[in-house]
Amino acid sequence: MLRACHKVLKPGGRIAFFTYFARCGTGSGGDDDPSAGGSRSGEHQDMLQAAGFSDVVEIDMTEQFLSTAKAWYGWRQRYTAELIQTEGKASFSAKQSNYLDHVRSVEAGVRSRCLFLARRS
Amino acid sequence: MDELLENPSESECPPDWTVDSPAHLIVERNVIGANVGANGYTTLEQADELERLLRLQQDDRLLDIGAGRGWPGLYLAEKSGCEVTLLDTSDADLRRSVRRAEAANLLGRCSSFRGSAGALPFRSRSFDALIHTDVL
Repeated sequence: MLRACHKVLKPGGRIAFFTYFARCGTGSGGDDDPSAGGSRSGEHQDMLQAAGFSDVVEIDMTEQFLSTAKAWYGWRQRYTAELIQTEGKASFSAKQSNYLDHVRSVEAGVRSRCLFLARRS
Repeated sequence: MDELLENPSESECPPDWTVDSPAHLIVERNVIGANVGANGYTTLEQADELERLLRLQQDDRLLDIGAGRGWPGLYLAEKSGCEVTLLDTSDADLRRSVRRAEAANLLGRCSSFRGSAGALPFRSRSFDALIHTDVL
């Protein structure tokens, strides 16, 4: 995907993307370990450079990610009845479960969100 | 390069009450900071940071991959004056993004395409800047 991004950018063009990912080597290592198959530190920077990008910058946004995940969960809980009316109970529960999983995995130190910036040479 | 999506009529693009209900609007405004059709993690403050870091200018062409309903690509175009191209795999979301572009008076500077990030349907060296938010 990053190679395709590099191709459609003009020389000097800028790429910026947010991504959240499991940190490898930080969990228990079991079958249900959310960090299984995760990213090691610096992996995204390596991928950007391998795709031909330069001036790679990584900004840790994990604290904001946690805050936003908590806010989604908490605000949606306040409006549970109204949201279930339009989403349906199953969809509402699945979304809440997803936000809660993100909160718990960040608090456990096994998930991060970063902003990456780079330039096409 | 063929644009895959035509501007939808109102009847083809009814409101999405899983996003646009009064309760959803209250929740989204408190979490994201604006009503932009978002359900992810990029807040208004972070979108402003993207615009600053990318130094977007009026003549720039911006590509938003996995644009969904147009957040934050449409916002960045509105704020910087640049052109924006939205790419997503969902026809329904793209129709809603076009409706949002129309509401923001951005149709003249916005195009929408259906496609995936792995096989971008654009010529080489087409864009000055590219964003994606939690797609990779």
